[in-house]
Amino acid sequence: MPYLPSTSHVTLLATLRRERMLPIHGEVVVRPGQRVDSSDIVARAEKLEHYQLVDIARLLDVSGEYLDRYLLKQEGDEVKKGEPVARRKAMFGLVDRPVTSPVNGRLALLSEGKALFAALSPLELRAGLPGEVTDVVPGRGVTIETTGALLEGIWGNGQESFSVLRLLGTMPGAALPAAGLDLSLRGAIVAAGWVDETSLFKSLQEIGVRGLILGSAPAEQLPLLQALPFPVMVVEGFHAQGFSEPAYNLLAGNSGREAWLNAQLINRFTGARPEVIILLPPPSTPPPSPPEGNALAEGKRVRILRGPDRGRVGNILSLSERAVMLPNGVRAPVAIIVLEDGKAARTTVTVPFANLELLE
Amino acid sequence: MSATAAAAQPYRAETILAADFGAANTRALLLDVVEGEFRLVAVGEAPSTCAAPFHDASEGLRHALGRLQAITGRVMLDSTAQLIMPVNSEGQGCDTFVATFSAGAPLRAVLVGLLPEASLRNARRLAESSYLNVVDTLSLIDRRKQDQQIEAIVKAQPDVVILTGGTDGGAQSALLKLVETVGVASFLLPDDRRPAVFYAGNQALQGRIGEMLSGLANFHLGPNVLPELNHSNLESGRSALGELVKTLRARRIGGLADFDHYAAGRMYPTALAEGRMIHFLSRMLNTPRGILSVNVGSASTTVAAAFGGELYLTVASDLGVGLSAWTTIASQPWTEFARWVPHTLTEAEVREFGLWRAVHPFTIPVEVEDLQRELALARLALAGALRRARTQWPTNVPGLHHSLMPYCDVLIGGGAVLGCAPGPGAAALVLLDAVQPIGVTDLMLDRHHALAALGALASANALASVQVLESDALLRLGVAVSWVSQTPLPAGTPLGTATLVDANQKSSTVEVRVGELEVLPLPLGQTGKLTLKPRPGVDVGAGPGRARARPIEVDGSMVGVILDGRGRPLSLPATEAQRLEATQRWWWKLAGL
Repeated sequence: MPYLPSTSHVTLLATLRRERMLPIHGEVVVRPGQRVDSSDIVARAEKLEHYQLVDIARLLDVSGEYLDRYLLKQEGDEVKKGEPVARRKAMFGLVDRPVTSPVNGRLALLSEGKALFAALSPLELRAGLPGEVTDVVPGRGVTIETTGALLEGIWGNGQESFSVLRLLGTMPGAALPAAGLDLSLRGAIVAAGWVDETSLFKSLQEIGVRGLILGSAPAEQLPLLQALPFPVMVVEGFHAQGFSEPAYNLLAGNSGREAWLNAQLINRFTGARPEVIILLPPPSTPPPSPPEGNALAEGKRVRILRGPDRGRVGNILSLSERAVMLPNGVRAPVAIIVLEDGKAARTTVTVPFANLELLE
Repeated sequence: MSATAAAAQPYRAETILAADFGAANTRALLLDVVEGEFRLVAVGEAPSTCAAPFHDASEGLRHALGRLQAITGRVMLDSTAQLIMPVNSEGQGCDTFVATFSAGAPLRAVLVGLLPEASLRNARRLAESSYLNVVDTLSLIDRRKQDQQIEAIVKAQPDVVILTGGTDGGAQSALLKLVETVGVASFLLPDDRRPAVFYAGNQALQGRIGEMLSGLANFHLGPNVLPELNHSNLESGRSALGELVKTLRARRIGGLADFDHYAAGRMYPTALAEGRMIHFLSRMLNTPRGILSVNVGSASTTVAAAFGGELYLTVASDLGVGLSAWTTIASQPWTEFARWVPHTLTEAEVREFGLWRAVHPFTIPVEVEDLQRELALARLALAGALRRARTQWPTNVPGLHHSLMPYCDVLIGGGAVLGCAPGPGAAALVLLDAVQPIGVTDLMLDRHHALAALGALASANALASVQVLESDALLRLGVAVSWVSQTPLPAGTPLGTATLVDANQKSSTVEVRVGELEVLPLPLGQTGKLTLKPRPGVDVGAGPGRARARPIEVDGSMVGVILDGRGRPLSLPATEAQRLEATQRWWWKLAGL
């Protein structure tokens, strides 16, 4: 029976579609077929800051059931802070009792003489990824399609940016070279194997880079990376290993191109993963979308996720259906993998199915 | 269901298929009549397809059934991949289908009740019995203004609001004020984000609250969880909430609604089904002592405990060995993890392990050291879930001391991490370390997630459920005896002796010492008599220094009789060198790797 592993994309060229959705309901301001740049606004919404309840009837000294006749604003109306929303004049107009809005926002609800005001701030959703709008979900967002290379990561700090990619370091495992940090990197998305000196994070911040892609980052660096004011994505793991060969080659081949770094948080339930998409000119025939959800099969390229060969990349030579006893006594079906680097004495290794991910 | 009632049910020879949709794996269990009794025949397992990129349970079950077919030769699906029901003339398919599920992200829940120590406490117990993540609570003592409470609910965007409060015929106006807050918050949310409101309060207000929330929220009724002061009614509340959780999960995971249809509604949250079986066992054994089941999953850990026929069910939705590995490690000082590993680890190594496991939750250990880390993670998840569970347990159950585990006759461990441990001794060691049972306890292993399947099956075919449980569905790991000294004693001090006489009158005696584990083997299928002679001041479940009046009859098991002289609470040696030596010795003694 087929075994369905997870898939990690190190895709050199593909048609890529990404949903851009508001976290709350709003308004989509682009249409299908429209081309958008990274900074274009595709949807807008009003973000709730806080609510404030005002007992208008009590302030006007009227019964709630008669409040309607004193209201200047209705439920759903936009309001400005200090703007009168209800007014009661008495004593032939000599007594004027206005009730004003306590917030900039909206009169969200009117009930039994009370008003619930919502303080709102504008929320703009930008395209992020340049391309063509292929689908619109009214009130929610859009799908944008583009052509490019795709590299997925395993950790992100929740931010995103669009800029030119610059790879530093001459080999996959190389640490970020301090000597290579200069003002020419200002505004760039920098990629490097890993960072051995945490003071370099401050240097990157001072230079004004717009993103950081690391092959790996030791676990203790993650709080620092989380706090950086630009997006950071970790591709491979949580110690000083750098990039895998395929990931490094993809970045090296595209250094200098424009890229969208979306360092979103990984979520196994929804499938969200941090990723970088490097824009490439579309060939005459649109390339296929990256494969997803394929089964392990002979010849497939895989990365080893656990065990003595963790992080190494190879191709499946054969798959065993019967469970095999592992060195620790656990029994599991295994695959024979031919390693790509071939530098070690062993060029084939035996790995449980569960410890493989497809590289597509 | 009682054992008598189960036995009285008419015998129906039928083929039963039970599916379990977990976060990491999908399992298919085939139960059938063998030599006149229902037995667990085979289990097929495949990676779960409930999460991305599939978001559909069907694919995983199809693969699990494929493996089942490879083992048994029995075809379960027709040419259109539909379940064959009932069994056809070619002997394909099944007559009864039941299912359990734990896959999917925990649902976000807001709890609303009148008083923290009354209705809100019951609301929390209800929420913690399923796959919910409590994001906020509201009660009469909430210091926030009403507009701030509304804002909190709107920003929390809950999937479920559990609304409790008022004994039947009790307080009304205070509860209605809270309902108003929930109703306004729900009104302010977009239609497709409005929460389901599960009302389990004063029954006299059902109609009124239903009207207030009409058109504002999906209103679901449950029984009052606190019908009278000092009288909780959680059992039916759990079932009703389970139905709601099923409905909400089925909206997000394709195929679940179809499988519920095949199961004629007998698809339950895994924890609920497990709890039912523990509840049943407690009533069947009619013991005031505890019956305990602990299940460590990838995303969550479940503790089902029954004392005197009353069930206490706790799901720790953020503790597990895969998807929740990082939150499990981050929930406690890193040293709590490292202490269980018989090699030295640094903080960075512990954190790296937790992060990596969370990113690649479905991987398995290959080397012994990695396996030891995996099992340390299981201990951490189990211990954390037990701490939460014990806050809900009654304080008047039999036990040695209120700070220690109450006496439990049976302790059942489950979850892939225990089920796949290379030897039964490794699973037994994890259970002993994490749960730290007191007195004499039967240790069992639920290798195939059978407990949940049988809990789901109980309503369809109770006889089958009982017969499978009494057969070899659960693996007997051993009988654990804890030797607890009232006063601290130096390591190596004798605590007493244990003598096991097997059916052939062959006798083995061992001296139990402080800080040591000893094993008296008794193979499966054999029986023996165990005599415990503790020294004065040492308790083996019969009181300090008291030997049992009669020898204990014990059944054979995978490991045998395990004599645990490591104290309660279990304390590890103070120095790192001694700790390494002790944990390695214990590992060798039970796991033998």
